[in-house]
Amino acid sequence: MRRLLLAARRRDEAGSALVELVWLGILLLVPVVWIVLSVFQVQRGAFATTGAARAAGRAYALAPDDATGRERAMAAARQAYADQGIDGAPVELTISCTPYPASCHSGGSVVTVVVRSRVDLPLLPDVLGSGSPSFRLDATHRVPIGRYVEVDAGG
Amino acid sequence: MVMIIGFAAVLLMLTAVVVDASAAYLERQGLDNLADGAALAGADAGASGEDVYTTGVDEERLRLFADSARAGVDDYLARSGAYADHPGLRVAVSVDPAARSVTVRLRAPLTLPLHVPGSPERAVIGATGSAVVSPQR
Repeated sequence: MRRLLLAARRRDEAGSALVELVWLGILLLVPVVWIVLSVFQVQRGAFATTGAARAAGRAYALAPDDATGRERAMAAARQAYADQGIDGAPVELTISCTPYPASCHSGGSVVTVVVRSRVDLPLLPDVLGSGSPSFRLDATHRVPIGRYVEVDAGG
Repeated sequence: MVMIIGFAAVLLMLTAVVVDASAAYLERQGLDNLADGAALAGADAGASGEDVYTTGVDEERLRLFADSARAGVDDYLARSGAYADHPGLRVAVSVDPAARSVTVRLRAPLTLPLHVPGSPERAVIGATGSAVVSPQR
């Protein structure tokens, strides 16, 4: 009798592993894998953004004048994003300087470069929300231009 | 069932480690940028240009005055809001009279965003930057 009961119980559990695998797999592993992918995407974007701010600041400070500096800073920022394998991200570059806002390459000025961007989170179905969800990123870098540079009369 | 839950837990823990590591890396990057800027500002402030009138301009590097270099570093850090961005920031400025260079060492504590069992909750991040002023002809 006892052996019969045991046998019956054992037979009852047969096949439940497959059900558990399917349900737990869908409910647990799929979101976890999505979280992992999103974290990597945001991490990559964050590394690119801080690298871009640094590179753009240096490029701007080393350029001979403001217009060239802006071009080179933008190119440097784009390169920093390309290095992290991000090509389509919108990169917004804001360059300001104190105390000569009109002429940054004057002696004694400090250039502030702010890079703003965002990364789109991967693989989110449209059912869960309208539009593509994204993560905003920004980074700032300040570079002093030396004192021994000509002060532009226009500044 | 145990295997799947265990696997998910391992994945989540790995994610937490990755998040912590990148937070530490980003903090270091920020401190690196600050140290670089502060060293440049310090070298610029320290080179008063007095050598033009006294000893003559050196071929390679301008002479640096420690006090004004320190003041330049402090001014840069205060103006860039470093103390607000990195609470507990400690600054060490050293001026090497022989090499005529300014070295700025920054250290700041970082509270890691996610806690993984068995890992420290806080970390101290450090960065170093140094600069010289060399005349161009």
